[in-house]
Amino acid sequence: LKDLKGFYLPGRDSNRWLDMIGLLAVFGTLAAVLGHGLIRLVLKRGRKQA
Amino acid sequence: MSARRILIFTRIERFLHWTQMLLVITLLFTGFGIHGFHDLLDFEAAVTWHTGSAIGLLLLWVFAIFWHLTTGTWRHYIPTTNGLWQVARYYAYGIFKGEHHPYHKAYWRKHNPLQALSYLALKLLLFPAIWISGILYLLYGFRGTATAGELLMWVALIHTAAAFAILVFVIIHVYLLTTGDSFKEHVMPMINGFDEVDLTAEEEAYLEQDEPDHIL
Repeated sequence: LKDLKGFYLPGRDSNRWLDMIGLLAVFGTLAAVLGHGLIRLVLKRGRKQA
Repeated sequence: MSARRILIFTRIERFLHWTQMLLVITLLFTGFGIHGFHDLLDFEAAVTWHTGSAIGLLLLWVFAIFWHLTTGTWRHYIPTTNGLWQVARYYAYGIFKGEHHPYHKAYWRKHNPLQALSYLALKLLLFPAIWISGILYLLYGFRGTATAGELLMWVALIHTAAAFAILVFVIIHVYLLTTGDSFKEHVMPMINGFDEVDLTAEEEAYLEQDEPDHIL
């Protein structure tokens, strides 16, 4: 089944571009929320000391 | 106007929310397994679990839509720009300065405007994209054709794209739970149902008179 062409086989075929954009969106979002959270944490500490 | 602790998520809503959560997590996990991102389940088991939880979720949604329409609860999701900018500005800026959240829950508005808009987009765009493509995907096998050509590829692309978008929603949704005074305080309303809500004098009188166990 691995070498048969001309049809879409779930689990074997996927669109490279879609996967790249999707993973970028997922990890980008993870990085964004972690960054957002980190800035909150740092600024909160700064406020407490001030 | 007075702020009171009232029941904002009834037992039905909490049941819908957490059952949906379990099914969505199962679907994401098995779905990305089928897609080939991980090998933690063998293909056949992943497909069985994926199909089973998909049917479960579709049934849950039919019930949830019926419930929202008959109880009028759908109104919480009507989009509004009133206060939308203030909430967006808060998450982009004010939150870092330690400002308080600009939005207060109201009896007929239990979500902030940005939240209502996000949930509406999830329910009207992402969920239909995933279930329509998912049903087409399922039915393809029953058509008795050996060749799954161009059409199945598009169905698969839409299904996968919607899955990525739903995962992005889940990440942001969980992160935003940490933005309140505490994570626990933010999750509790979906566990015990109660949260602080600004009530008009009429709403307060109504609840005390007719729904005394819905107001503390």
